[in-house]
Amino acid sequence: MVECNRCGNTEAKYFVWLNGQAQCRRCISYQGNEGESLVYTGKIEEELSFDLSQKQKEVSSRILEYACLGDVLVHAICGAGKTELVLETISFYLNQGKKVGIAVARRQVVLQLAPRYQAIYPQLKVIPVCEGHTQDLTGHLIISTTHQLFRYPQHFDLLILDEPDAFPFKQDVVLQGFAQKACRGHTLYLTATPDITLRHRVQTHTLKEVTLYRRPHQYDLPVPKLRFLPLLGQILALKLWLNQQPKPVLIFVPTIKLGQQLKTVLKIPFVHARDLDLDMRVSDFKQGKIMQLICTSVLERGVTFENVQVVMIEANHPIYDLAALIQIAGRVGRSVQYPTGEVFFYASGLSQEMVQCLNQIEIANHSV
Amino acid sequence: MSQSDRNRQPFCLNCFKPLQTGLSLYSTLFRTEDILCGVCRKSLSSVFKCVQVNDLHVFALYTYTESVGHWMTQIKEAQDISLAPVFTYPHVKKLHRRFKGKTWVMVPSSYEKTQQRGFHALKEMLKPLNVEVLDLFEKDNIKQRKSTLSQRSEIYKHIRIKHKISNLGAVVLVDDVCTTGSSLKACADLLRPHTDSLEICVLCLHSKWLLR
Repeated sequence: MVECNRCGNTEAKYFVWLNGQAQCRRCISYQGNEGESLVYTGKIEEELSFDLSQKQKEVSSRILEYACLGDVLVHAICGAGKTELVLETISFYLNQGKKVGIAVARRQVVLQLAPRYQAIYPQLKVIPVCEGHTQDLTGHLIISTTHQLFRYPQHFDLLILDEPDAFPFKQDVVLQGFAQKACRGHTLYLTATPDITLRHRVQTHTLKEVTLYRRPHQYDLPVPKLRFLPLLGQILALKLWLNQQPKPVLIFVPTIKLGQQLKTVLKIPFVHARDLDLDMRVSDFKQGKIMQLICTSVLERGVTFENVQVVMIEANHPIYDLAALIQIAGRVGRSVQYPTGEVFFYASGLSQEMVQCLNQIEIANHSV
Repeated sequence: MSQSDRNRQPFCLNCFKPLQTGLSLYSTLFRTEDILCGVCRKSLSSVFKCVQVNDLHVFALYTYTESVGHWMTQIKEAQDISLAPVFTYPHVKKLHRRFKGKTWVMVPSSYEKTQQRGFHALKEMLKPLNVEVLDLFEKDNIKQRKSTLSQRSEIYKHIRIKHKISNLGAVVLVDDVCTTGSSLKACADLLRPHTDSLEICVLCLHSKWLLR
């Protein structure tokens, strides 16, 4: 049986034979130089501008304990500070001279995470590796999209997979293969919404689970408010609500077409994954240069905006699964300065996922 | 089992789904043999006629669309040689009929690029036709994709005939992509003194020429 060294494919239909050599066509479009991790000789310590809560400290120690033994699932709600929870483990591995990589499904998140980690580890060279950032592939700490992991075969002693249930990673076997091939040690999965595969691994004891259901500021997760209206009514209600809303607002739409229509009607910028101005618009929104932004699920996870309020249009659209709804609701009330906020689900009907989302948020809010 | 037998698969060469995917009943019954499924084949926008490109009459197979761009990148940059025949495969008979008895000459690509790739992309694309394609030109190593319009119009300065040639008779000049038509014009001007007649065929033509 032939196995692809890059994506781990063994299915014969993806191989072609050229001059006696098997070539895997499933991952052939991923081409480029390989990267390298540097080893830092001094003592590495994380520099945080705030203290972790007692609960976060406990969870962080437990993650380190488990991560030395095997793979770990860190199941923490949106805004619980997943980045901070794994710092102790990252520092431990780096101090041992081991190689650490952080992989996320989306480029946008890589570009947000890299400066955060650089500020936490000022003595290290933290490099983002994603589309448009593939010139420098060598650093002490590598933050990469899952698409770029093929550049690091059998490389990482600790691979942190942030949001493995996010699109496109969750349904792309090639990307999953890259992650498997890139990790020669243990994998840490960070998510607020573990999928069935991760849950199954926890049940079968091949994966240790660590949970954290409270945000550091101890406030509850905002519970989405439901508004049932036909689409036109949703747009009118949104328009009226926006007129009296002084805070930044993210408006989620299920399709690009609807986003473009809303952009025309409401005169608000619209971003989606293929938008060439995506980085600029997100940066403007973050800096408060624009107060309202329409977006697709491209901003559903991994991004933090201060004091943001969220409105979902057509929240019952089939594109929104349970994980997406929880993640979108989780954009609100993430910072200590602004621990509360409003989330509206505008919908023309009630979907099963909306009900499950409300239930899960209620359960998280009632757990200790 | 030979290499070609091992590579002959009942799957679409692009999406790996069964070849029958996306086919109507009519297409299932009457479609010529293909290596793409119905959905992928439909993503190509067929032209199959002569189009005026500057002062040249160019016979085009497809419009240059996003799918074509993606496939061209996959063939040329990712060296996916297996995808190369997708443009000509179902049109072999028609192309043979149209250009019967003519000598095929290809527009050059740079020697360095071809060496780096390990195969000649256009030759691979024309392989299903099973005709001899003459490589009479040489071209300097310049990146046309990154050239400006005025730089492209001066492409003739970088193309020349390799060796002395005698009369070629009736000739078909063939290229994979036609964007400005500058390369085709440069080659056609160089070839014309050595031919009785000259026709031009491109696999993918930029849509701006079809709007005129």
